[in-house]
Amino acid sequence: MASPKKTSFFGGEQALFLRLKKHKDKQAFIEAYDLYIEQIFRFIYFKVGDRDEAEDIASMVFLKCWNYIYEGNLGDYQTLKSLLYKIARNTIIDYYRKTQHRQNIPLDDIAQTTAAIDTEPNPEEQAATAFDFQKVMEEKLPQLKEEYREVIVLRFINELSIAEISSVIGKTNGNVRVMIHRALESLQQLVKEAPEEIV
Amino acid sequence: MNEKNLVRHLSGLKSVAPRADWIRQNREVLSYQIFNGQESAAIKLGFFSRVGIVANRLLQPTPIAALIALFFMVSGVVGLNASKHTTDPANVLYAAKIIAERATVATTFDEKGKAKLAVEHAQNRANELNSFSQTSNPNDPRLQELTDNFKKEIASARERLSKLDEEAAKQAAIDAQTSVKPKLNLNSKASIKQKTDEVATTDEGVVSADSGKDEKGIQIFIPASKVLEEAEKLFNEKNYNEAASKLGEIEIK
Repeated sequence: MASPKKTSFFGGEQALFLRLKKHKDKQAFIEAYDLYIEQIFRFIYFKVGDRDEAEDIASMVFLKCWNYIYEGNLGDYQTLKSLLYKIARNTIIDYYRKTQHRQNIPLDDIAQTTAAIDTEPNPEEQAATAFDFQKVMEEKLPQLKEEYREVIVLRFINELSIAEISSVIGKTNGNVRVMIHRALESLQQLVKEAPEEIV
Repeated sequence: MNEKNLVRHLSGLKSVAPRADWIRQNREVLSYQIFNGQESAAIKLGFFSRVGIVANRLLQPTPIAALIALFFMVSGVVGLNASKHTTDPANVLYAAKIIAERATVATTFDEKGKAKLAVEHAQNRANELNSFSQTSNPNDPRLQELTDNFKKEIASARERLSKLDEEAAKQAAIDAQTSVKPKLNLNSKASIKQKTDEVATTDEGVVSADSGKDEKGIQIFIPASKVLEEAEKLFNEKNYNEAASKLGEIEIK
């Protein structure tokens, strides 16, 4: 499934970030790609709900990120991760502006909508899960409000810290905590509606 | 399901990942874009590419016009500089020199400046004849051409100098009348005449030649017209060098 992460010889995300910031090191960026591609893809995937679109957008995100670094704009950022997530968010917005897709699936329309996420499981996923709870989560997540879904993915799937999330979405730590709490409550409510035998 | 379980199950969604072959392919594409992208376009430009870029910029209409103008300016300056040392009237550069001198006179609007130029050009002709006569056959028709040119320049210088003298005399008369006006009621007409003469005599030096000092140490000025006459006389005697030196004595203030 997830390939083992390769980090630089000097190790660590901070070392990669410094190599990029100081030397615009191309090799460091490729290492950063290896390090972050899966979580960036996941973040995009849970937002757009389509694997192919998520892949396209993820490609764009990394290329944009490199251009940003190449132009020497990395000074405002403390971590490469926060830059990647910010670019991903903006790219998704641009993508939907251009394609005029709907980014959100409002809670009110749950009954009429089919799951937005591409639910086709790959063989590895099928082998890894004993029962279909993952599928339930994948189906329920798109039904959350966009901002709740975003913090859930960032916090519990991609495991970003509160501070990192606040820098990505541009809110205070306190606001982020409140949002996470409410997001979990909403998700719990949605999961309760799932068939009893699965939950 | 409590919150703890929910979080545990959510972390299970980490298994959602892009296809391994897509990761690899995209990595290759990204590497290609980074390593052969923007920077290489700047760094890997060869000599001919750089020449091409410069040529492309220079071939725009404005640089072309500027280059043409620059060419004419440079060739003009170089040509005039070369023609300064030409003494042969048959030489193309000599014609260019004469044209340049005429152009200088035409673009000078000050009478004193024109007079200075006329004297200077007459001096040039004398110098040219001096150097040309030393290398040419005495029967060379070009000697006559140079002589005619000198005479033309001398005539022009004389005309301009006499104009300046007239103007200076008029101005002196006006100044004299102004300066003696308060005394007009007290003195006779004779005193005015005397004063005017004094001023006119003093202003004779406006167009004059410095001929040194007399035995009492007083500066002596000779009217320029007289100097011209002397220079012409020396020229006619074929003392071209002295004629040129004489013309150099003329000082126009």
